[in-house]
Amino acid sequence: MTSPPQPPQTGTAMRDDLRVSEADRDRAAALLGDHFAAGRLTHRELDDRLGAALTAKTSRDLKRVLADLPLPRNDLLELRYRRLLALYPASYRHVHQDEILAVLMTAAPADSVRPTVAEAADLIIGAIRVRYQLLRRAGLSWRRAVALTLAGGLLGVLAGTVIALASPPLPTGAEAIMLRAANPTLDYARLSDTLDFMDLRVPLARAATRLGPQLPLPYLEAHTEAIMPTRDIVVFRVQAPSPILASRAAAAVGQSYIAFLNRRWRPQTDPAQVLDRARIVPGESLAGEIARDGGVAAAFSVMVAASGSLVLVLIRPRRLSTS
Amino acid sequence: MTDALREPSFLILTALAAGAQHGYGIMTDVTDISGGRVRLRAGSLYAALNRLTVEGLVEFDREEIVDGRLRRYYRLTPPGAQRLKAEADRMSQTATVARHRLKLLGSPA
Repeated sequence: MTSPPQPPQTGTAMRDDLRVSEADRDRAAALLGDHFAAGRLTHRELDDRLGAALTAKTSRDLKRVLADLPLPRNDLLELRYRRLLALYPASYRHVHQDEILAVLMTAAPADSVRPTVAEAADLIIGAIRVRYQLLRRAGLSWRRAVALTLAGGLLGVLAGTVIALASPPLPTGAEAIMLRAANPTLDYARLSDTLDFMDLRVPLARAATRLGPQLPLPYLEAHTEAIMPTRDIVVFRVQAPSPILASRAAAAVGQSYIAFLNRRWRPQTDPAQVLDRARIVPGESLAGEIARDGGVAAAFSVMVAASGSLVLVLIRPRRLSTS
Repeated sequence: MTDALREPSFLILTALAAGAQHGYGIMTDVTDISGGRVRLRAGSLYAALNRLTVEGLVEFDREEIVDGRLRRYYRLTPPGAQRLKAEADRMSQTATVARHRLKLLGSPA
């Protein structure tokens, strides 16, 4: 026999008796929140369990709170993928959502509970490309497409600003590199511009002075992720401790970043005014354009998620001049 | 004249030239074909598949449910095969010229 000499429960019992950290309690509370959002818990059950989770002393206490709920990993990850897939047009989603979800879940590492930034950006760009393909197929002019998508609300705004400028279709990262290698004279911005484009130090420092002591520069630097899925788009995400602070950070970081680009490009519009006027409410988005010489030099969209992070998507058209 | 295929599209068509495949199969095959250089993510894959379908180079083949998840298979259409062949010919022609000129240059490469 290969059974261990100790009583069979010992190992588990010892692990279950281990004290939990504040982070463990928070994680359990967040899971409960997700289960409530998914409809598995009633309001009252959520209240009871949150109370138990936040006062849990041992691992066993936390396990009891989550015992009758499905394993978090698949669920949470799938929920988050579904939120991203909501960016795709409904008609496309209707046909392809399940198969894309299957691919995403199969490709995800076993222990991941959230999409990576690169993956999220890839889905956002994918959604934009599909929207663009559908609209082009419908023979819409980009002006009409923008009008339609602007009317479509939060996600439409994001797609609309991109569609407005995405002609020809946006390349993915891999495609962009390939295209550049194939055709070095293609009308992309010069590399030095690109480096400045990604340099967040100046705009973050400026934003920090506007935000005051609640979100100091070291915090902003440590909680900002930037990714450039193509040479024309930068997506960056700033984590803030609360939705209200995220909302303030959205205005400050967004405005500083765009002001920073403005100085380089000398455009004619000051989008800082747009951002100043609007208070960006969590769950909502704001979009605008930076005009230059009568043409559009760039478009941006800022969103504040209810979780307290902001996403700024900035799109540079390949041709800065009017066409 | 048609535009040159973008690399992901070229690789996807190449993957499907071996027979119908589902999304995840295409993803792993593309990584293999490109020697690990190109790793398609789901968003890029499906945007490319959508365009290739609209252009009639790729079509729906069949569906399967595996472990409760939907697998949809895609296959190359005859125009897709033609397009892939034309692209492969074009690339090998360019590569031949490049190799020839490097030889003239006396480069060790």
